[in-house]
Amino acid sequence: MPVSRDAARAALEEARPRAERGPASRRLTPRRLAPGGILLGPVVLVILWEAACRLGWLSPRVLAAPSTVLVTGFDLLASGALTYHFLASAKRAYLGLGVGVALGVVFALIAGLSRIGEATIDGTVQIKRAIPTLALIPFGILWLGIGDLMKVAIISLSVFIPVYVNTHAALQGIDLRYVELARTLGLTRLEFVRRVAIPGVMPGFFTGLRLAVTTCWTALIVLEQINTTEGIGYLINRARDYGQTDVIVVGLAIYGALGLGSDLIVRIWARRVLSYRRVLAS
Amino acid sequence: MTIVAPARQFESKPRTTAVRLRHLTRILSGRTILDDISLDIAAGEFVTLIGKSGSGKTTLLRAIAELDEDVEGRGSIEMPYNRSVLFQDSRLLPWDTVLRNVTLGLRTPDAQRRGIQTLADVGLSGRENAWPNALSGGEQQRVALARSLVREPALLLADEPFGALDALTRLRMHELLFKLVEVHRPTVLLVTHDVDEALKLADRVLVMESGQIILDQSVGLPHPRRRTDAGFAARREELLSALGVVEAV
Repeated sequence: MPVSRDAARAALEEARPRAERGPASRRLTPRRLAPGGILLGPVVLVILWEAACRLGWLSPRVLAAPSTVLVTGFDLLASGALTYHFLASAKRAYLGLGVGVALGVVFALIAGLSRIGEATIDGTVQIKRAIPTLALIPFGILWLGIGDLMKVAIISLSVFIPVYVNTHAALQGIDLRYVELARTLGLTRLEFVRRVAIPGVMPGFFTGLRLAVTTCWTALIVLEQINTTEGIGYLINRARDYGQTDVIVVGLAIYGALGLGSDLIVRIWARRVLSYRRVLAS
Repeated sequence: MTIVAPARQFESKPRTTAVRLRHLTRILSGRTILDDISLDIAAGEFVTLIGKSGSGKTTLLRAIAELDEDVEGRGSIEMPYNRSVLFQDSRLLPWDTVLRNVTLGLRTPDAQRRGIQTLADVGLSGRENAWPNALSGGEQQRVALARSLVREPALLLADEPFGALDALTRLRMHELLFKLVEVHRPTVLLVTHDVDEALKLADRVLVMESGQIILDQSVGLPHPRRRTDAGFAARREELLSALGVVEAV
């Protein structure tokens, strides 16, 4: 929508000088950070960490130096081991995420759009919500074994909850005025779902999805402590046995990067889908 | 003064009845909002309904629009199947473009073309792909008007459609609505609390109070109507006194 985007940009540019005017002495809130300013803290921390290792204050048995971690990470990458374990972890996580999100959305729609669905699904899910999914791991192991099936199932289940709860809440919060409008325009039930209900729940869905992505990685980390022969969790566990703190840090960095990266993707996707709201914000 | 022959005189066309209400009663939490209303509106007639707040005018409109299924009541309503509602808020879906809002629920193969044409009719050519939130209040209400008219309704129900607009925009919207009604010729029932608006647009003005129609006035003035016209002032006086308003001169 080039027209509205340009309009939004113009409005933004118009608003900016006004917001930045005013004498500094009378500011009640701190001035805005320069781009990248947020990185100051992490950079200082890494420098201190490196210095502590170089000066011998931190033994490699406690924590490897950042430079060592970088070299180890590069070696692991060059040998192909990192990619192999990374793909194994990513497969579990995203398979679980995909299944859980799909189920969450479908169940939320059924519960939100039909009385029988509300009666059967919503109460059940609310009870399930009270039990942390990770507490179901014993049953998961008894029923599905200790392989990837159990891991994907548990991840799906833990992802399902935030997606369901947020999507369902958004569906119940749909403005009744739009329902009235749909009736006066003679929309069919399917048209209503496609044109009003689904777009209307998208903000709630994305809230749920962002929580789900975080949940998915947390669940993965816990599950990869159980009998794994591949995956980042396996890499970390083996490194613990050999006291390789550098490999542990590489594993943690991968988890962190995956979490951040996934969140970034969801945010970009949400920005695209909810682009109509940016007009409102300007 | 030259009198322009009003194009909308009912005498010039067969007067079939578009809306027929018989003994319409609506009760909301024990309070009678509509009290045994019987009313005929001729096809192509432009009727405005005025009244104080709480007089039941919106309830009447919602009953005809069939938006009151949970409300207790009796009586019969006959009306065309093909009708559309213009709300006080534009009620555009924020996640759909202007054009997609206009053609919402329109299933004809030329929906796209008709949508673009109707948007041009309301003066919004070139804004088809804009988001509703990027438009001004007046523009949003014009999109809503286009959405109502694109389906060529036999009956247009409007609930204070210009109530939230500023005075200048409202005057422009009056002209636009009048012009478009000339072209599309639906039967119109427009609820308003603005006596001037009621008199400027309508063939017939109904005044409601306590759930009953207490005055049924045929306007019969030529268009365009001005507030300064002698007939206008007299009718205005009559409506205001029916509404219980005494104007300080």
